[in-house]
Amino acid sequence: MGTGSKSSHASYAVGPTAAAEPDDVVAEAPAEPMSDEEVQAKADLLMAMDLLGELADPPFAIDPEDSVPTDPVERYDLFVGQVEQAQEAIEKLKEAGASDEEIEAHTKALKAQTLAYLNSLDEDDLREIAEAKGFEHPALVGLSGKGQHPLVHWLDPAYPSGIPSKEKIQAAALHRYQQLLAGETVGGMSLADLHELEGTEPPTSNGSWSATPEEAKAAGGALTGAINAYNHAAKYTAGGPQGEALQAMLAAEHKVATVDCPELGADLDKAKAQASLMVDHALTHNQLWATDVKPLVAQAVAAGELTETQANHLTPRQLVTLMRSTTPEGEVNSLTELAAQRKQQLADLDAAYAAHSAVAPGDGEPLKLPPASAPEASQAIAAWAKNAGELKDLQHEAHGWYSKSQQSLGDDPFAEHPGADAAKYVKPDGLTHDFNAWAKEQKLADLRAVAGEMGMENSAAATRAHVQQYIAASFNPKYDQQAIKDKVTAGAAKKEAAKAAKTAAPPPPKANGGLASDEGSQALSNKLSKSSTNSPSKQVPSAAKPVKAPKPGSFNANIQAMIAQVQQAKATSQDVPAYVDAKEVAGWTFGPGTKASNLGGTYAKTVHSAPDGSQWMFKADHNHGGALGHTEAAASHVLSLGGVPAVPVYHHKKADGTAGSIQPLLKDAKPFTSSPSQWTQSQVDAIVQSHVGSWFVGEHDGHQDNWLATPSGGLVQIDRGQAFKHFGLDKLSVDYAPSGGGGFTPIHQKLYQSALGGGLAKGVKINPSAAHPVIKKFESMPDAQLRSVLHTTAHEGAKAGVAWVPQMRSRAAKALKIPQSQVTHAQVASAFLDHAVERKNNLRQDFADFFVKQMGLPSGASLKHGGGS
Amino acid sequence: MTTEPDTTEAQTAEPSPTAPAWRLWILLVWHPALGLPVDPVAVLALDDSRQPAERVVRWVPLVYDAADPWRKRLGETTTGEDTERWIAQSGGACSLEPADVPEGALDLTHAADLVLDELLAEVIPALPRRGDG
Repeated sequence: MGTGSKSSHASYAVGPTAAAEPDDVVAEAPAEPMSDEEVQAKADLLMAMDLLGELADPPFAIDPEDSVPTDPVERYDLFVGQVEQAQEAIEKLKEAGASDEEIEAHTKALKAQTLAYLNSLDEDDLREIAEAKGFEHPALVGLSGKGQHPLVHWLDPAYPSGIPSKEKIQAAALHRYQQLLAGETVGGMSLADLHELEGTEPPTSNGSWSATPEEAKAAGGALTGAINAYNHAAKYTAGGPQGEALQAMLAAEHKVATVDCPELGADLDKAKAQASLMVDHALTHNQLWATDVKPLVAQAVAAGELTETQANHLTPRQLVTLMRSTTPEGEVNSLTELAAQRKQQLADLDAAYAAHSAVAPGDGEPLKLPPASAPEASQAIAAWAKNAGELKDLQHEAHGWYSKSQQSLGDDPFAEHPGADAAKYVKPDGLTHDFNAWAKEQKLADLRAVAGEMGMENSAAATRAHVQQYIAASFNPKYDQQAIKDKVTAGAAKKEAAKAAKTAAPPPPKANGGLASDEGSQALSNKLSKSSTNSPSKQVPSAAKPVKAPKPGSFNANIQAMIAQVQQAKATSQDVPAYVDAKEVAGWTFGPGTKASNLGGTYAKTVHSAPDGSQWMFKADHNHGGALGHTEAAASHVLSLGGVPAVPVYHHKKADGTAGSIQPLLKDAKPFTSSPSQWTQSQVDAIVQSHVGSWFVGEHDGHQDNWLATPSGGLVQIDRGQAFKHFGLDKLSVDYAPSGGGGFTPIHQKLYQSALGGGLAKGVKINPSAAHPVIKKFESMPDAQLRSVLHTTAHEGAKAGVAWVPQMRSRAAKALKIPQSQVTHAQVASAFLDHAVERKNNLRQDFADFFVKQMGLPSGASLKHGGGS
Repeated sequence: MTTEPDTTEAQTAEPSPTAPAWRLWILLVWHPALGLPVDPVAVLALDDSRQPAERVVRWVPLVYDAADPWRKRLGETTTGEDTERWIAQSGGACSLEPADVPEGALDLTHAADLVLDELLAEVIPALPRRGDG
C-alpha cells in the first residue's frame, strides 16, 4: 500500500453502484485486474533491476561460473544486457497498458541505476570500456578527473547511442586530438604523452598527391593567403565575392590535407592539423549565408561530392562542414542522416498540408468539414484534427532550417513546399475559431462521437465546450486532452457523489482504482514499485559511489533544477501570451523560484510557477529599486494597446521585497535568424509595425538576436528593457542606433538599409501603409490613458535617476524657465509624460516624413491622411 | 609549410599565480523548447591581467547555426567591457553565465576545457531537444 502503484488499491472491495445512467458511467473507472502480460513484464523488470544491483555490488558466489566478471569491459557488457532487458520489460509494460506515470517512474529509476553504476567506475575503467566500444582518444575528455566524467554519459545505455549529446563528447575528443597534432597541449598533455598513455603510435601522414617539401610549403602558404582573403571578404563583402573566397579557402585546405611528403615527416602532420584549426577558426568567426555557398554547393553536387538531398536540406554551415576534407567521418555520417530525415520531414509536411488545406482553405473561408452526422464523418473529422496538429509540429520543425537551405534561394522558395511558408502555418487560435464556428452547427451527440474517436472515453458526460476543446487540443496547445478528460470525470464523480449521498448508498470506488488478479501479482507489484521508485542508493549497494550531485549554486545545478521545473509544467504556450490586467497579476501568488541565472546577484533571474501552472521569469532590478521593472511593464502595456506583438511584462515585488519585473516564458518560439534577403513581405510589414511601437516607447535595442519567430510564423521582439532609455535624445532616423554595432544593429535599421541597398527578396518592399493600423491604434489612445499607463514609470524613474532623467530635467527647466537644479522629481516626471504624449500625437507625421525623406518612398506621404478616418 | 598555429582562438598563458584575474563565462543561446536562453554553445575565458585581455573560446562541438549570435558578437577580441555590455543586454535570446575557475586548471585554455567538459558531462545531456529541426 501507499506505493502509488496502480495495484495499490487492489484489496479494496468495489462496492455496488447505483444503476448507472449513461452520463454517469465514466465516473466509475472499471476495476480491471492486471493482465498476464503486465504481470510478466513487471516480473522481468524486477529481475533485470535486481541483477543490475548485483553487478554494482556482486554477492559472494559459491560457483565461480556465477561470479561477476572482473574485467571491466566484460562486466559492462553484462550491465548493458541487463539494461536492455529492463528497457524491453518497460516497453512491454507500456504495451500492456501501464499508466504514463508508472512508465516514467520506471524509466527514471532505470536511469538512476545506470548512472549510479557508471559513476562507481574509476576513470581508467571508463576509458578502457569506452575505447573497447569505439571511442577515439578517451583520455582527451574528463580532463580534471573531478565531477562527473563525460564518458559516463557516453557509455550510459539508458540513452540511445548516436544522440547529439553523446556525439558532442566524441567530437570534443577528436578536436583536442587535432590540437595535439598541431603541436599544442591539452590539459598539460602532449601528443607523445597521449600515445604513450594509449600505447599507440602517432599516425603517419598519407596523402593523395606527392609533393616536394617546397611544393608542400607552397600549399601551406597558399592556404594562409586564402584564409586571409576569406576573412577579409567575409567582413567586407557578401554573396559572390564571399562565396568565391570561401571556395578558394576550402580548396586550399583540401590541398594541404591531402599532400604526401615523406621528407617532412612528423612536421607534415603538425602543419596539416594547424591548417585545419586555422580554417575552423575562420569559419567559426564568420557568418555563412545560403547565397555565399550556392556556387560551391552547385559545383559539389555536379562533381558528385554532395547529394541533392544533402544540398537541399542542410544549412550553409552544415554544408561547408560536409565539404571539408578534414571533417571526421562520424560527423559526416550524422549530417548525411540529418539531411535524409529532413527530406522525409518535408515530404510528410507536404502530404499533411495538402490534406489540411483541402479542408481549411484559409483567407476567411469556413472549414469544409462534412456534417458530423454523416456516415463515417466522425473518423474523417478526427483524422483532420489530428492531421492539423501534426502539420503544425512539422511546420515548426522545418522552420529552423528551411529558410537557411538552398531551397529557399529561388524566386518562389515555397513553390514545391507551400506548407513550409510561414504565411501558411497552422494558427491554432484562428483554426480553433473556425472549428468552433463549424461545430456550433453540429449536434452535441455527433461531436461526442468525434471526441470518442479521438480517445475521449468519457465523452458521453462531456459538455459541448469540453468536447470542442478536446478536439481542438489536437492542434491548439492551449488545451490539454488529459486535463479536459479529468475535468469531465471529476464533474461526473461530483454528480454521482451527490446522488449517492441522497440515496445513502455506499460510496463509489476511487476512479483510479484497480483490482489485482491475485495475491502474487499484488506482492510482486508492491516490491517492484518500491524497488524501482526508491532512491538509487537503496538499489545500488554501498560499494558504488553515490551519484554526484551538481555543486549547489553552480550553473549546472541551476539549469537542471530549472529544466525540471519548466518541463513539469503543462504546455500553456500560445504564440504570445495575451496581456492581462496588471492588477490581476499583482494578486497572483507565484511559486518559489528556481534560479535561471547566477550573474553575481545583480541580474539574477528566477523561474516561477503561476497559479495556472504556467512558467514565468522574474528579473530583479537591484540598481533602480524596481524602476526598470515599471519601465519594461509600461512599455509592454503601451505596445499591447497599439497591437504590436510584445511579451507581457509586469512590475513585481517578491515576498522578500526584491523588486523587478515578471513575464511569462515564451515557449516554442525560435530565434529569427534569416537574412533580410529571405524575409517575406509579412515579416517586413511586422518589422515596420514593430518599429512604430519601438519609436513610441523610445526603445532602440531591437537587434535580431532579440527577435523570435512564433510557432504560427509570426514575429515578436523580446526584451524591451532599454525602453525610454534615450527618450528625448533619440532620433527617428535610418542611422540611429545608440546600442548598435557588433551585432546589435536594430532589426528595423537592418531592414531599411537592406531596402535602400536593394537587398530584399524579389517583390518584397517597405510598405509605409503597414505602419498605419499601429499608428491609428496608438492615436486612438486618449492622452489621459497614456499618462496613466506611464505614471508610475515617470515618477519612479525620476526618483531613481534612470537614464532619461537628465534630458527630461533639462526640458522641464527650459519649459519652466528655472535652473535645472531647482527642478523637482515631479517636474521631471511631468516633462517625461508631456514628451510621451507629444510623441504619440506626432507619430503619423513623423513616420510619413521618415518614409518620404529618409527612405525615398513617396507613398509614405499618404500616411499623413490616414488619421481620423 | 608556412601555416601558423591559431593564436587568436587560444592564446595560452603559462601556469599562472594570477588565476583570480581569470574569468570564465558560459555563452548561451535561446532554447526553443524551454523558452529561455539556456542552451550552451561556448565557453569564454578571459585573463584581465593581460593587456589586451587574453581570450580563449571553446565552442561546444557540433553546434552549427545556433551559435551564430555569439559568433557575431565575439569578433576578434573581447574585453571585460564587452562582457558587461552583454550582461546588460542579456534579457533577450542570448545570455551568458559566469562559471567558477575550475580547481586544478593549469592555464586559461585548460580552465576553458574543464568547463566545457562539465557542460558535456552533465548540462547538455540534461537539456531536452531544441525542436528546431
